[in-house]
Amino acid sequence: MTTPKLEAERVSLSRTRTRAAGVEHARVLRDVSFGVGEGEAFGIIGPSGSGKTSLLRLLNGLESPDSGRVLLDGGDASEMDALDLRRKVGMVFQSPSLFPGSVASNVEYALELGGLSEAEREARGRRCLDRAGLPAAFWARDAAELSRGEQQRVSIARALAAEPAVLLMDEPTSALDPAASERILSLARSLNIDDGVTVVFVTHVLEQARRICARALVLIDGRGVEQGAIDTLFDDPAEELTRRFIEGTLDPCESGAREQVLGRGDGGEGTDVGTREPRGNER
Amino acid sequence: MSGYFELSWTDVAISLSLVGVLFAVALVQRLGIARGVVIGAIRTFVQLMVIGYVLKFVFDLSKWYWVFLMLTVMLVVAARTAAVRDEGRGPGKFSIAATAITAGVLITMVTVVGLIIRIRPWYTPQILIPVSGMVIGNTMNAVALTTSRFRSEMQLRRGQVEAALALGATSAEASAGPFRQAIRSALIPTMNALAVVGLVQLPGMMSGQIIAGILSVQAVRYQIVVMYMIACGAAVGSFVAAAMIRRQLFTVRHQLRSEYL
Ligand SMILES: Nc1ncnc2c1ncn2[C@@H]1O[C@H](COP(=O)(O)OP(=O)(O)OP(=O)(O)O)[C@@H](O)[C@H]1O
Ligand SMILES: [Mg+2]
Repeated sequence: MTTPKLEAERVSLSRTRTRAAGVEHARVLRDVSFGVGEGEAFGIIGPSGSGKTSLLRLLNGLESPDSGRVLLDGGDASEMDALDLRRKVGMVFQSPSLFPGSVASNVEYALELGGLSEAEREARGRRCLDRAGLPAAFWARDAAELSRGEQQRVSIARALAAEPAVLLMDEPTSALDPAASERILSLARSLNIDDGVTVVFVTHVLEQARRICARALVLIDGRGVEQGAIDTLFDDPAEELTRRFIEGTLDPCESGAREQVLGRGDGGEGTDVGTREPRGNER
Repeated sequence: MSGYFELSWTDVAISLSLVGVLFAVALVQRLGIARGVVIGAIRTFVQLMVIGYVLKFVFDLSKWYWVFLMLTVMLVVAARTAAVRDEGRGPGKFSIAATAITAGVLITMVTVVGLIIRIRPWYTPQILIPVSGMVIGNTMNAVALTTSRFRSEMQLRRGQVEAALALGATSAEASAGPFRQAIRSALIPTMNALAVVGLVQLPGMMSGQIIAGILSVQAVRYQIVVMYMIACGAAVGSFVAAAMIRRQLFTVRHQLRSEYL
């Protein structure tokens, strides 16, 4: 087999949370491994709080794993220039987080960092906006006044401007209505199929993974439970947890019970992952 | 001396009734600060009495090491006060505040003593101590405002900061907005002071002389210089504080350390 484009090798991550009771360590990822081939669309699916966002953040070096490695083109990501890595591995966040100012200034941001001339910036920026499915009239508009779906497409255009080889997409359709979601999904699909961008697509909506990805990793409680062809995961999962997640019968709160089902709980660490709660500062 | 009205200890005792008003409001409105009012009133009395004697002692001896010790104590107290007001979770709040305040004060004072007031000997306490005190106080406020504003601004705009990082921005590029905002807002009180000085509140240096009945053009010149010094101290202190916080908030690999926000 050829070297995967992007690879996670037994990555683990713990987070420190400051609580009223004091500092608490939570292991949010444990020994997760997977590989994404060049030009592939790979899914990461799992319930809320399972560590999908955390895993993506490791892949472009926004955070470093406590142990394990991330490999890009077979090279250890921690030994690459951090800024270079991020230009090669772009990321679209769960919430668009546009910069204050015009759509143009958002899309041109990466190009300014790259030191392109103004004319080149505008030409390339406009192409990216068009690629993200937004009419040229959006170029001069104020980013803050756009709808959420439009903002998400601007954030995709902004990521595309850096011409990443890999695009990480973290639930890009969350908080969008079905029509807007649909446009983002077909855009992701087209970027992968028509432009050959390697896509890592995170979602908890199974149908989306099925539309976009050929293979996927099921992430539950910070563990890679199962991975493989998406149809197999759906129709004939090898693991009980995968089946329950797909059926929708996985109780989001019974972390302890899951440790048992997993059959490889590291004894006494049942509460390690901690109670899941939505991160208030995410949007 | 004409126009100079002596205050007796009895007069000071009577003035306690003024704090009594604050105490009464605190009690009646159950503000929960009554204890603090009492402690504050006592501290005002004790601190000013003690400082009066200490200053007299230092002035009389006029030895550089006493002046130096005094300035060090002032800096430490200022750094502690600024550090307490920094609500961030990062370590080393005291050393950040101390470094920033010292940098602002030192640059300002060296310039002034070397080029402007040119006091000889340089440690002449009658000038060095009150002038440094004003610069330290103002720099302390600027530093405290900078640290808290920078962290809160980073918290608020964390999504944008990380989006910029993800696009390949350095930590300085990604945090440029919060950085600028923190320094700008920390300098607003100083800018206001420059704009309205003398119109509403007469600055301390001049007030003292007016009350003592000896207001001179010298006092006015000193006050002008002091205002410019205050501006310089605040600017340097604020910038150093912001730079140190920024250093703390990112790793060398340009990763945001959100646990320190
Ligand atoms: N900055 C942080 N500090 C502390 N804990 C965090 C932080 N970010 C995430 N966590 C915790 O890590 C775990 C995994 O979070 P993560 O955001 O990766 O999950 P997710 O699968 O992306 O969830 P969702 O589908 O809701 O986005 C959760 O338990 C969360 O509470
Ligand atoms: Mg997430």
